[in-house]
Amino acid sequence: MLFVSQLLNTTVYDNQQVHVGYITDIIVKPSSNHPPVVGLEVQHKGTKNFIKYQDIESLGEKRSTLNISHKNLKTFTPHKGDLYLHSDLLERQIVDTKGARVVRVNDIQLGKIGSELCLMSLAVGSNAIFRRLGLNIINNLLNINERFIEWDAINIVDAERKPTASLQLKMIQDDLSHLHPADIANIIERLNTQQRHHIIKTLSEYSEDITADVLREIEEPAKIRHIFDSISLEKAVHILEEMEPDDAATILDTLPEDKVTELLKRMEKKDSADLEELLSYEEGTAAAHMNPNVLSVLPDHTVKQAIQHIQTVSDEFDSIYYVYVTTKTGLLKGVLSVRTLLVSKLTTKIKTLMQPNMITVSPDSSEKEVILKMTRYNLLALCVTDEKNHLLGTIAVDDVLRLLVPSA
Amino acid sequence: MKKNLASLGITLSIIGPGIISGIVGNDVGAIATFSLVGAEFGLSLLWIVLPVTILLFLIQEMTARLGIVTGKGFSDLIREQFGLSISFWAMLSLFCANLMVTIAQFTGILIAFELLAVPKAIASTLLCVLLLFILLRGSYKKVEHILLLFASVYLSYIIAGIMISPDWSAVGKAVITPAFSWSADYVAILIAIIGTTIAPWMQFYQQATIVDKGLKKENLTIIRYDVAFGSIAAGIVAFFIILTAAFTLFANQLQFTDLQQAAQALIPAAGELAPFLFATGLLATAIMAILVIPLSTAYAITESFGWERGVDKTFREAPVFYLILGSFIALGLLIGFIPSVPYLAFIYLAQIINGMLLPITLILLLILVNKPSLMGEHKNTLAHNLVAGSFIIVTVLLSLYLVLAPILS
Repeated sequence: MLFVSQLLNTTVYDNQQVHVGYITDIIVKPSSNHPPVVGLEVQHKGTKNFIKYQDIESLGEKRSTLNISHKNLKTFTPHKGDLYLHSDLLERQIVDTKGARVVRVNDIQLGKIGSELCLMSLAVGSNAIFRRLGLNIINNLLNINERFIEWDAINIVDAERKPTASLQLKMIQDDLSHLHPADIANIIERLNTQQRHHIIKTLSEYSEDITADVLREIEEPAKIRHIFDSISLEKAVHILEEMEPDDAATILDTLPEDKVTELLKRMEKKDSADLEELLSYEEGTAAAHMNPNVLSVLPDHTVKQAIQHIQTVSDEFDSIYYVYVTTKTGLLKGVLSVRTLLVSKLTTKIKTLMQPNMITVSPDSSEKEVILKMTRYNLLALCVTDEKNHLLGTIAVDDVLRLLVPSA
Repeated sequence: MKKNLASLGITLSIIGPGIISGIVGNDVGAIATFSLVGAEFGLSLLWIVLPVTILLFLIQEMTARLGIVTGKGFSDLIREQFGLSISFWAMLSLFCANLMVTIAQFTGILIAFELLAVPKAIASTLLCVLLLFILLRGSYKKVEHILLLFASVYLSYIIAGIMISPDWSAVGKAVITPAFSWSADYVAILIAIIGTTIAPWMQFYQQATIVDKGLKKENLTIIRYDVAFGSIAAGIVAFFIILTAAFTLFANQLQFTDLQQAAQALIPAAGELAPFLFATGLLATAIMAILVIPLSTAYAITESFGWERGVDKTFREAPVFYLILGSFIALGLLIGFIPSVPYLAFIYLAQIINGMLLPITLILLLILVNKPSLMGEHKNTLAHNLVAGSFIIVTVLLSLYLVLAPILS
């Protein structure tokens, strides 16, 4: 096993022991889980030459030898998609999707697979740092073991040689998309501007759904703005339409006026109307967090009819805790849980099952009051009603949890 | 949700890094150094304010440009472009310089409490607790808005400077008359002036803040204004501090051994409240610096080595980050408990060390900002390089002279 840091700046001799230069980079072909080395970049008196892997006799920590004469060195041009380990990967910040975090490549481990020398794994822990600085003593004293991550769990997002579009798509498909949106959001928040731009762009083209979920989890307004700068208006509109109105409204709140106008213009009438209503409410009030789309049934519906209705509209709701009972004009009559619906006879009328005494808040209630009521009455969702008891919207518990622990 | 001042909020969220660096840059060290300048040399060093302000602008502009064009922090770039060894030395020098500067702030707090006749030990411990609380609860960014408010404290220097009714024609002449001497005292104070105005932490802090705000190339012009305002603000405050010290301490041939004297000397000219204002100024600048510099150092170092960071992480998750933060605050607090430390001398030494370590980060900055692969069309012009390069050479020569002269003589 050899580390890239051990090879860099070591001398290369040809088969006659003539000094050829010193290694400045190692080039691999990122074709598989363990990219094989295809060549070396060697510098001699200011000029850089590329040496094919096949022309190398041996690679060692102190010196390397070629199996041909320096007179027979044919120039080898690396392919466009090839990866330069020193300038593209070593020392860089990359995404470790398996660990759902951003790490720095402190060293790269090479090893033999068959006759090929391949990239085995990346060292991202402190062990490599101390070892490279000649301070291995610290590793022994503090018992610091190395942390390795696999190549196929890695995403390089920027480099002087930009990864090809297909490589980026592959990494989104294979790795990033399997993570929980909250973890993806965490990673995105830790990347630098360019990396974030690349990932968001590719992610939004791959799946608007996932992008919407990730966007909901991003905390800092500045980062939300960058993200919107990285996607086209069309995509942005689709993504916002995917979300529940209150989440979309929270995001729109962080964007500049003109952008918001542009986005609202392009949305479907119903969605933009909902959003404009939400945006008009005072920040920090109950109304600001509510979702105006309510899952409701009529009092005279039977359980069977209610379930059928829910099945037709379920797509519009991220989560369903309660079913609200309203009149045709929107007057709140009662509530029942999904559990009640599941265990009751299909012919029972809703009005006999529902709980008529409702805990509600008015649109201008404070966030504090909302949290208080939800906690006191053990509610997963709270109704927002006007003075006449019309149901304006509901506030779900996960919106409120974020208020309690903003740094999570 | 009504957009309460939302647009203004967004503009304010862009402006800031340059102004803050300039303002926080006039910390305890600056007050001490410039007071020393005025007290020992009168108006004869006043000429240096203009060139050093221009240099501050140039250097901060380069880091701002670097941050905007690459979208990456300074320590991130150093690690990526120069590798682990150089990163290590850069981070080590940053740590040392910043630690000295931070401890200097704590001594400033002690001096302020003395002037305000507050019992030192209890007060500074309480203050540390408060500061730790703010650091760990509030976010790096929220702190900025508080800092901008604190900035008004600096007006007191300008007012004091005017109240002592200086001889403006002498002042005007001094501003444009350069003077130089090879005496060790003179060279030392030059380095201290450089180190206090253009401290290494400023480059890292400013670039990190810019990247955090996700500023783009379109914002380059507005950021240049921001940096300009910050530099000018720094220059003006420096000017008035030298002025005030020159006409109160130097004029009366008063020996300047501790900062309290600078405060007392203001009384005949600026009234009985002068020491109180002075102490408040000292306290405010010290607090500001303590809120900015340790965090900035912790972020820079952990970023460079790829360690976990952020006040939203627990100690277990980000041990090195918290250790760095903790060591800064702890060592700062500790200085208050060591008896008979010559505070002024220590603060002065911290500025000199800053000045001597500055070339390290400046050379790295200059190389980075000239790389076409990083900066594209925004790389340095020849003019930039000539000015910055000469400045680095001058600073290195002065530092070498200071270190070698006593040995060689």
